[in-house]
Amino acid sequence: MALAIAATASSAAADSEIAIGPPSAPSHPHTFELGLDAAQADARGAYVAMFGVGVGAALELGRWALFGEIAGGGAIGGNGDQVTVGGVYGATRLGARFHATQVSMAGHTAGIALDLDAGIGGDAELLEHIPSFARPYAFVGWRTRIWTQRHRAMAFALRAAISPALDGPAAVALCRGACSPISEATPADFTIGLTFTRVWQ
Amino acid sequence: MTRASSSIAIVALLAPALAYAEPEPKTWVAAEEFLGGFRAGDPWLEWGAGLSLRRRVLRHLELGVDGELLRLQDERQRSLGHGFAARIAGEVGVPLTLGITGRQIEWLAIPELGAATMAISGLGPAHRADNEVFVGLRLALRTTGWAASQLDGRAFGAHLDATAARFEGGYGGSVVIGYDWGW
Repeated sequence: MALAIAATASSAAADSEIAIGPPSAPSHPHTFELGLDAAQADARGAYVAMFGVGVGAALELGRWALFGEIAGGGAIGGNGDQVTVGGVYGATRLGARFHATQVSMAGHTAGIALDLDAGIGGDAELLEHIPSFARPYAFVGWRTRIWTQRHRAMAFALRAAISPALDGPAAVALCRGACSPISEATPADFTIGLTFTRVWQ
Repeated sequence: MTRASSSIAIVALLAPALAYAEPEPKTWVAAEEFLGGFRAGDPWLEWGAGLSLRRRVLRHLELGVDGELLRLQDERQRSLGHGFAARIAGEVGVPLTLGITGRQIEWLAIPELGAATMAISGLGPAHRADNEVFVGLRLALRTTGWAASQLDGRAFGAHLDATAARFEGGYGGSVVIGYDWGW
């Protein structure tokens, strides 16, 4: 991404009409995105890694936006070297987005923006030999959006999510009996997720 | 063309550029990816994401504060031991200009000295918190001399940080990349 930033800067440097006063948010009241979705989630001492595709839409309200995302794909779960199982996952997220700051040039046809996200969501895992399970979570994150055309951008988003520690038969099966106690060692499960998307703005 | 008229022409050509120049951004906000960190002695690995705020306070001094959410991996128990941490760091750096490309991109090396504290959950009662002091080097590129509205940034950049840290229980290090907006 640093190379992309440098390339964008070089492109702008060649343009003698560096713009002043870009709009603070995407120019359309609705934006849509399509791309890759990935996450690594703790599951009470075990883990679930997810990789798939996702779609999203946002309602733009000035510097703020409301957004929703749906994603799905393949997943693997494991407990160190002892268990590795495959399956599928689905996820959905709803949140609020703040367009924190941006720099644009050449009449808003190129730029880079920082968006801050927060919201709630959930994922469901269907892994072979493991009872299916679903978990809610709350997340915060940020998104870097780069565009070299007025209405199309690329976005890279990173989010951190916290969900209640996995419990029940799924936890026992996934941990193979080696789950740490919820109350002490693992009060909640932590997820790091990312999306890499094409945005129509 | 006489010498006087040549001078007038040059001034006329430079005037828009001179009028266009703005003070360099003094405040920078950055989205950061904490790519990885380790701690030796009482080992764990860490990775996550955060935000950073920087402010040039003197001509050659930069103060910063970072906030990060990290996932910790206890290496003694392989993947069975994990937790997470909220980390807050403050640092002071000395920006050194390495060069300027095309009068638009400034390349910087910023030696840093800082301290951080983290609240830890998930690694058991022996690890509730930790403190550290660190030295680091930030390599950064920043655009310079651009103009924009007052609400929005007028410069952007990227950086790579490498740090070596002294924790309460051992030594460690980390690597972070980030993207900056300045105004």
